Parts: sequence; C-alpha cells; structure tokens
Amino acid sequence: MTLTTRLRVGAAVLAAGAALTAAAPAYAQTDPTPPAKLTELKARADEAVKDRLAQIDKLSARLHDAAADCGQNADVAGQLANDRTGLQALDATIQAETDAKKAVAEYRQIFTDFRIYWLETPKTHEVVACDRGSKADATLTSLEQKIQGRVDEAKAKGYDVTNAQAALDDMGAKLSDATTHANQASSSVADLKADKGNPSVLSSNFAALSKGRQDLHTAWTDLQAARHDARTAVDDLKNLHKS
Amino acid sequence: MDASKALRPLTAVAVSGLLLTGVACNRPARRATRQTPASVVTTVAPAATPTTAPAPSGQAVRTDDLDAGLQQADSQLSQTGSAVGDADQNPQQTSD
Repeated sequence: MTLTTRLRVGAAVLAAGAALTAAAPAYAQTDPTPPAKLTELKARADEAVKDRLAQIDKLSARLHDAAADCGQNADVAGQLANDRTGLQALDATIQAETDAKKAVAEYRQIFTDFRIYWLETPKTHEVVACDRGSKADATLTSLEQKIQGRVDEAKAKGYDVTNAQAALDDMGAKLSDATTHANQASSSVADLKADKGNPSVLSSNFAALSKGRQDLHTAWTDLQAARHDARTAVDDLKNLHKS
Repeated sequence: MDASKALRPLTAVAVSGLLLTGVACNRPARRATRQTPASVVTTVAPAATPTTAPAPSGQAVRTDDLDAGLQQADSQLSQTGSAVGDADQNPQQTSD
C-alpha cells in the first residue's frame, strides 16, 4: 500500500468516523439490557427502582430547600411524588411477574417511563437554578433601589451622578433580562414528560433541556453584570467628593 | 286646720319634687362626666428618628450599608452559580 493509498484510507476512516459522530445524537440513550434470567431481572429491577427512589428523595429535598420559587416547584414536586408511587408499583408488579416476556417489557419501563436520571434530574436542577437566581435577583433589585436613593440624594446635593445613574440603569435592564430568561428556562422544562421510548419525544425533551440551560446561562451572566453595575455605582458614589 | 298646717304637706311635696328633679338632672351629667374624662391624656408615640447614618466626612452620601448589600448579593450569587453548574451536568453522563 502506497503512502497516498494509506492517506486515502485514513481520510476515509476519519470521514466515516466524523459522519458517525454527527449521526449519533448527543442524547443517544443506552437503556440497560434486561437480564436473561427472570430471578436476576427481578433483582436488578429492584435495585434500579431503589436507586431512583433515592434520587427522587434528593431532588425533592433540593426543591424544598430552594428558598424561592419561580412558580414551578409545586408542579415538579408533584411529578416526583407521582414517579415515586409509579416506580414502587412497577417494582411490585415485576417482583410478582411470572411471564418472562412481560417482565422484560416491565423492566424497560423503569427507564423509559420515568427517566429519573436523564429527564427529572436536569429538569429539577434547572427549576432550582431559576429559584436561586430569582432570590439573587430580588436581593439585587432591593439593592438597586437603595443605591438609587443615594444617587438621588447626591444629586440633590449638587453632585454629578451621571456615571452612577448609567450603571444603575444598566443594572435594572440586566436584572429584568435575568428574570425573563430564568423564568423561561424553568417554565419550559417543568412539564416535560418521560418519552416512554418515543425517539421524537426524547429528542424534543433534549432540545428543551438544552435551551433551558442556555437561558439559565444568560440569566447568570445578566446577574453577574448587574452585580458589577452595582459595584460601579457604589464606587462612583464613594468617589463623588473627589470630582 | 289652720293655714300653716294646710301648707305643710304642700311644702313637703314641693321640696321632694325639687329634690327628685335635681337627682334626675344630675345623673346624666355624672354619666357624661364618667364617659368623657375631663382631662384626656393622649400618649403620643415619639416620632421615629431616622436611622440613616450620616455620610462619612468627605463623602457625598453614606455607602457602608450598600457594601453590606453587595456582600449579601454575593452570597446568593454564589448559590445561584452553583445551581446553574448543577443544571449544566450533561444528561448523557447517566444512561437513563
């Protein structure tokens, strides 16, 4: 094989690899293969359900401790509670199953019908991120009003507050944008349902979760900018006497 | 019966009538006195003194409390950043 031929083969392999990578979606699911033996399947099912119940507890606790609410906490907490009872019932069904084929189908439902790790976990995290962001937003909004009072006071005393006011105006705009994006993230993912093995639902859920993360990033960047604006305005107020 | 004897009962009736009238007139006055104390003591809460500390010398306005507000915001922003980081975990890291 000549060098040119080798290079051609190499390029073809790379191209094929790239094509495969592009074809395989980032959210490709690899649900566990059901064990062949019924007794083993039952044991694995029980273990999988218990793992998921523990995860539901963690997620519920996170929602409970959020200390703020973008408006979806009760909805998502209710879904988690339903998942809990649904998984427990499914586990009971599997443990009592005598038909191996039915057991395999039921085993698959643990994953496809609940998506505790793939869907409920990122969903809850996004909702909680909105909650936390809204709390920070409220604190910064309160601070913005306080700073505005001091800017007005300094202005009344005859100081030039142009820079401080500009920083505050930007702060207000950033806080408003942060609220919009965080709420968008939370409300767009809160009602996503498990795909039950439907690839198109899986795909749209993935897209919604990704969009939610993007919105949260925008909100987070806005909040940081608002915080920077607050610092600028306060520093400007401190330095007014020097001008 | 002479005239003085005849007038005695009339005088007694007149006196008792006057007494009754006086008592009757005095009661509402007393009641009114009881209801409306002559001297009403109104306790006026002292006017709230402004808690805003004065601006430090050389500064246009006070800013120390604004610095405290920034610190509080920093703490909440830190929690927000952590929560956004959690939300960033890629779902494909878990199989289902």
